[in-house]
Amino acid sequence: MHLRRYFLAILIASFELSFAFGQEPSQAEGSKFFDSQIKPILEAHCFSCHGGGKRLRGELDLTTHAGLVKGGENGKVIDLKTPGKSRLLVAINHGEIKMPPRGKLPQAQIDLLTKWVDMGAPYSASTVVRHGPPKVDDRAKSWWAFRPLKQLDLPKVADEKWVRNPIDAFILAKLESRGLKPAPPVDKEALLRRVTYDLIGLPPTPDEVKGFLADKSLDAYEKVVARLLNSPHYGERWARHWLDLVRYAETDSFERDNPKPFVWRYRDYVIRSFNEDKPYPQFIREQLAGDELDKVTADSLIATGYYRLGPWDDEPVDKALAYYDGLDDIVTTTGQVFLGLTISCARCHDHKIDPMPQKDYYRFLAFFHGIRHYGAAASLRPVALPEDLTKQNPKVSEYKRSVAEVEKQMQAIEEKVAPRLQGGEIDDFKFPTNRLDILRKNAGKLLSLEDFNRYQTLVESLEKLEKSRPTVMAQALCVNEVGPKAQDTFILVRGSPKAKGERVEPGFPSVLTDIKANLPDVPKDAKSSHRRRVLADWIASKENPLTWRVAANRLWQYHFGRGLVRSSSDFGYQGTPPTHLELLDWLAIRFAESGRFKEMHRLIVLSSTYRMSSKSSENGVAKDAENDLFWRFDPRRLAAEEIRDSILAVSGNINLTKMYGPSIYPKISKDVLAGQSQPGRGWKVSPPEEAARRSVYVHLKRSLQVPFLSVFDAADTDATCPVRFATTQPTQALSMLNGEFANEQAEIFAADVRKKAGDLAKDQVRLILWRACQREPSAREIERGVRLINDLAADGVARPDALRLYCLLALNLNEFVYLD
Amino acid sequence: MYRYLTPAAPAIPILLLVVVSFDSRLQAGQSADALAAIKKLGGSVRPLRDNANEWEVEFHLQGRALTDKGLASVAALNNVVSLNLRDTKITSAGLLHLKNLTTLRSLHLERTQVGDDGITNLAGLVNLEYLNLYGTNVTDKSLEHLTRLKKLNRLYVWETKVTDAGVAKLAKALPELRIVRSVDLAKLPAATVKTASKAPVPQKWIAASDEKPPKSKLGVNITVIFENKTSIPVKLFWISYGGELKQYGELAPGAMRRQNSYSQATWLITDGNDKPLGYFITTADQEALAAIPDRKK
Amino acid sequence: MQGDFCGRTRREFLWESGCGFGAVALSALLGDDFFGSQQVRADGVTPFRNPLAPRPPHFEPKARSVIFLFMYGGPSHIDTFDYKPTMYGRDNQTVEVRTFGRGGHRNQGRIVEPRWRFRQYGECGKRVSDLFPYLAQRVDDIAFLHSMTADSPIHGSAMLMMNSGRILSGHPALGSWVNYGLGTVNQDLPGFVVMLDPRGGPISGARNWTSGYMPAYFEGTVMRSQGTPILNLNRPGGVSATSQRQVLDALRDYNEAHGMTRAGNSALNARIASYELAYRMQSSAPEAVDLTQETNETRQLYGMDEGRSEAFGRQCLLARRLVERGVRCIQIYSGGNHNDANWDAHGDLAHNHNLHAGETDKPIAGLLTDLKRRGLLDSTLVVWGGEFGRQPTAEYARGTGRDHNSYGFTMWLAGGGIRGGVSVGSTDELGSAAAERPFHVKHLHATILHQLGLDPNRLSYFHGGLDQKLVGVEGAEPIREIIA
Repeated sequence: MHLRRYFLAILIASFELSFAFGQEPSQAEGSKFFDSQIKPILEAHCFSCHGGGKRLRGELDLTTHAGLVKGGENGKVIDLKTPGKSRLLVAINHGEIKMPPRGKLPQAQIDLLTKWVDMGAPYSASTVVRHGPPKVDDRAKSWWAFRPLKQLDLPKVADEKWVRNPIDAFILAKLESRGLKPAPPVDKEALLRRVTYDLIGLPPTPDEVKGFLADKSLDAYEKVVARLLNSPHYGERWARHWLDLVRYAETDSFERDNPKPFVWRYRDYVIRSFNEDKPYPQFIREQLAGDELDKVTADSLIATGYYRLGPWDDEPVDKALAYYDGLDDIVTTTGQVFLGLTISCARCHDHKIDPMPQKDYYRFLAFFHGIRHYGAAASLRPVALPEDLTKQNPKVSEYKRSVAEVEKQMQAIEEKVAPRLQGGEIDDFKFPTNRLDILRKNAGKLLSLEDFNRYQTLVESLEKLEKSRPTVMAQALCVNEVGPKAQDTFILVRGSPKAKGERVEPGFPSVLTDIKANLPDVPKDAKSSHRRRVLADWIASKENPLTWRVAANRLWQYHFGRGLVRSSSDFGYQGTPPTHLELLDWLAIRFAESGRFKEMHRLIVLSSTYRMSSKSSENGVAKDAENDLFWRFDPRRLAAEEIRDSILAVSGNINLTKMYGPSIYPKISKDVLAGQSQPGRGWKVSPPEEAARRSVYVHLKRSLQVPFLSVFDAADTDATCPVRFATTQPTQALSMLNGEFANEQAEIFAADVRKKAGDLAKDQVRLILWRACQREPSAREIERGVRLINDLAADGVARPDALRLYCLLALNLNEFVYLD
Repeated sequence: MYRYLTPAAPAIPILLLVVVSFDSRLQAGQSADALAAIKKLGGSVRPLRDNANEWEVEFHLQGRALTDKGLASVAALNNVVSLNLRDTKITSAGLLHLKNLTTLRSLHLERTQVGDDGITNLAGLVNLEYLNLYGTNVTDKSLEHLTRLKKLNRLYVWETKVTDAGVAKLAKALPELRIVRSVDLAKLPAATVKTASKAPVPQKWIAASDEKPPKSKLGVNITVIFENKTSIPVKLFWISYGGELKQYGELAPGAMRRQNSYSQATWLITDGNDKPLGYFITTADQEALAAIPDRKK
Repeated sequence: MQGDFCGRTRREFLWESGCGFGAVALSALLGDDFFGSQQVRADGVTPFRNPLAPRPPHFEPKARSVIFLFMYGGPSHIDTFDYKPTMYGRDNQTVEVRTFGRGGHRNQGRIVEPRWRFRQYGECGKRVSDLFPYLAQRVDDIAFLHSMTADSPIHGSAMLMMNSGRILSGHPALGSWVNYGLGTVNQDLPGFVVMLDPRGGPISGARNWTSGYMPAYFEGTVMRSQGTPILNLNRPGGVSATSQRQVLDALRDYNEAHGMTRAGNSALNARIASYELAYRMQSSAPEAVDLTQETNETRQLYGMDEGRSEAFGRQCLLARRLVERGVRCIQIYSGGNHNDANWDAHGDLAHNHNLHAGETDKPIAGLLTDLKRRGLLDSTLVVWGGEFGRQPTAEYARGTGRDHNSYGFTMWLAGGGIRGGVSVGSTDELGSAAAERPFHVKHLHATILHQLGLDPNRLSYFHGGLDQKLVGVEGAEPIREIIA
């Protein structure tokens, strides 16, 4: 592993984050010079050969003062008595030996190295190279994120008036300590827009804006917040955050990228959980061990779909490695989503940065070692209530009989063709999803046209049957285990399934707790080992230091745009340190008490901190350019789903009534489908009414992303995504100006405006700007719009087209996609 | 100040100490108004590599409107090593400005109006290695001005009025120079059936002794013809770059075999039960004859 | 270890997530230039720094662009460039040989002797099969790697490995790494262009040119050599250029008025600039694709006058035009969809390879010739190859189909500072596995990055708690033998 990782982490650990470890290391002047000027040069040009560990070309180790003084194969490189004559300086000046070999260093760096040698080549304490597993000692346990949560009292502040709740006290205290003042409160329109998008992901309607502006009562804002939190669309918005984290997608990726059957039930479970304000501990237990709870319900079974969301190669090169890759995917996602720990870095070796020996990785993996490797069949379970299943239901047996009948007839045709196939089709025919295409190709050759047509109708009738599956037979993608006894878990040397090391038992990361994971004894006929229940209980327990800090931090991140800890899925040594440690702990303790999301939302959005304006200030920029201390509210761009939903809402075309159910397939242009190996496969376009539903319901196919969403930085579904990008690039402008979707919606928008605002351009423009910017437009803005429409008309553009173009312009406004 | 492409550069405080804006530092040492003039003309000035005082100047993308006058600002720069004027509006007169750009190593003039009297200005560019004149008005006279450019190794003169004679003369003066004129594909693919003009070159046989045969080194692709002149079956082993023995089959007494191999490869010959008899180290000949002598002789 | 959390670099967090300054995403964070440029001046107006702005490479580059000719499906090295004299005359002999393909592990099989004769070409006397009569005339410019190996003989994962260095999906493609490292010199065109076979895309579709955990700037842009070159590039029906310009000017007025009172959000300027960039792309991309500017002789050189090689010839000519316009990385797929629609010769070897070699031989030879005579070959690295090779033995009881083979296969490179007329590494006498000097896909990637002036072991992107590299954590050295 790259040596630099050691220095980087320890440098952070010791140099800047003294409070993180609870003591204050001292720093000599020389080593500060080394850290800032010399080490980067050595790293970039010397350590690849003289970096210690395996890298000792010419037996010269430049990572420590001792190594430098010892010198290498052909003698001393430094002469402390007369530094000027050191052979190191000869080498870097490309004398009789030339270092670095690839090319002479720029003069500036040679001078720095010469000065450093004159100073006696001081190293900094930080470069002591640590070998062997990271020590899990008291010092590691005192890391700010691993420390238990402790009640703390609120800080004193000068401007008491500003503090609406404790959040404001923590924020104001830091601001005042740095001589900063919080930004003034934001105006009402911007606040309404900010909180409406934040809680339900949709723009406020003009009537809601007018209502809020007219409501002079003191608790006008509180009423809005209550309305939004009770709206069913709240669950649709906040579920999308969780789906980013668990890398939710509805297909397997790789060659066939087959759909994951009934996986949409898991998405609906997440939306309902948020709408029902399900406590976070229960939300954790259902997803990690829904099938092992005392009371197993359809909901808790569906929740274990959590284990079946990742990519899955149905034709792996190395089956044993693919099995452990699947488990590693679960360990990686669970470690980071719930605990903010990059446990997966310790799969092949001890974690290079955090105090996590390789043993801890396999003790964590052991909790999941009963899970059967994904395979659609191995993961489907009926979710009807057990009692319904047992009673003989005529509809069920009728359904099973007709399905069996159709499948028998299909098999008859398949068996006629299979033996006579040639070349690659022999193997392709093994996969059911390929059979229709292969038969189509050989229609008229290996089977009669009439047989092929019959086969096609059989396939269609099978699909119709599946759609009309009796509800009592509903199935869902869930976890299945091999049985009551999970398989033994061994440390795998360098991660290789063939190199089994020491046997380990399930256990929690040693740096976090000393509690042993005592596994319950499980009845012989049990369906699973109940190990995951033990893990879920520990993660969901109030005493877990990380669960609540990570969850509270994510809440803050989704409200303010970035977490108090910016690296919201890495609370280890390498993560970014919290800007407000005390506030984070206070929020964590508060959230651990009730575990209710909605209560935390109310606490945060009603604070003065949340109501600050996003205006910049010279003082703020000078003292804290990155707004670490929240002297203002950061403006943000809408997420991909919010943009698409806003376009549908603003043009009066959105279908908000239909919630839940199988996913929708909006139109994708022919050119994009051409990128698929079988263009159009797996994407049967939904009727317009369905396609106009919210983006959280759009089908997520790993090898074919909806271009409109991916160009606006929708989450990549191959790994957990805690923080999204917000790029700005010309392809976004092209899709908003020339794209089919934007122009179709502009057409609908224009028609709706003509119906509601009459024929006067002035009134039409005003309504368009009202809906796009959710505020009263100024006279100049209206006049500018009218002038454009008239200019276009003067150039021969038909009046309705001119209006459509203006609607298109409104959808392209910066104000439309940027919130203050 | 080092440049460090990995975003995970050392911890934040260090970076904040060295905040220097990209443009000013990287283009230090160049006259500001020359840079401004070039930028206005759509040209670009960029360092050739990381923190180096060697510059490449380009007009061929957004700067094609460049005329001779604009070249004055290029002359004002120092350490220009690469200049691309393809498709610009410059003529022979403009090349006057390049007279003392002696640091120039690569010059693109293709598809411009430059001619012979312009090329005279290049005679002093002793460091020039690459010169592209395709699609210009140069003739043999231009080639004469290039004879003093000892480092020139690539010259492109496709679609010019240059003749075979002119090219031959220049080729004699600069043997290292590769001159590329029109290159095209033969209509009927004529395979050059390479008759092995030379007979296979016999290889030196080194009888087995206690001193170990060397490992193979990298060489040019050749064909080895093994001939077993002994009366016993022998085994062929190639000694890999790492020193392991890789068996390449056996050879019956009197048998012959063509084997695709490389020059400077070591081929160990053993008897039936792997007792080394001796080895060859191949030479860089198209066809190498490795005759395994009979031990009796 | 699969790609981990998609949290970005530390500095990305500092500047990006949500806070107003940093909407210009990660790629601008490469060097210290970002700090300088993103230092919000007192008036709060920050110039838009395009994250694809050009950056100096680690050392002096030999190549400025790379054209990857991807022979999707896996061409048989035994029948194309890896001459196996001892196989002739042994057709249908069963032989002991270890193979691993889609049909699983086997240790013996029925030899399928090469179906084409090999002849010697050029000064270097390289033997090339009769599948490539035109390409063979350029062997003196080409370096052949005969001992390539890869980790997977299955299309899905093998494609991802050849394109992104990992058999698991979610990692950035080669073109993304190149643009991340060097930026692009022509802002009016995408930096990473992908051209597809008319019969369809390759297996794993867009995952092959994804920017993975990098931001969307570095995603490959699919470009068509006919019709609208880029998605959404043409104005919608009925909208004239003048009306679009009027709309854009009005939009600019609105956006600038909106920006006046929001000095703290530099992304607003970035978005205004991106609309102007999009407007310019609307004319620069079609100009690049307008092949009417080329002479008949050139079109004929690329084989565009023959039906079978017209499509691939058009794409190769477009690739040269894009290189002239500074596009960094261009990937052209020969073959698409499944089975015989690409090089995947499981059935009739002769039919399959005659078809696909016939489509690509003259166009590729034409490309190398055209680049050479224009003086562009020196600065343009051309790479040819598939995601793996094929086996010496037949896959099924009947027929000449060869199964996949990732133990040993051939790729070649030309131009961009690569030594011509050279062959390095070799497979055993049956071509079943690499024998001398085996190379892995990461050595090929290291060589490509090296020729572009990037140190493959230093170009990294912080993701998932690790400095991810295209050549993987252990790193890889370029193939020195083929570097001039």
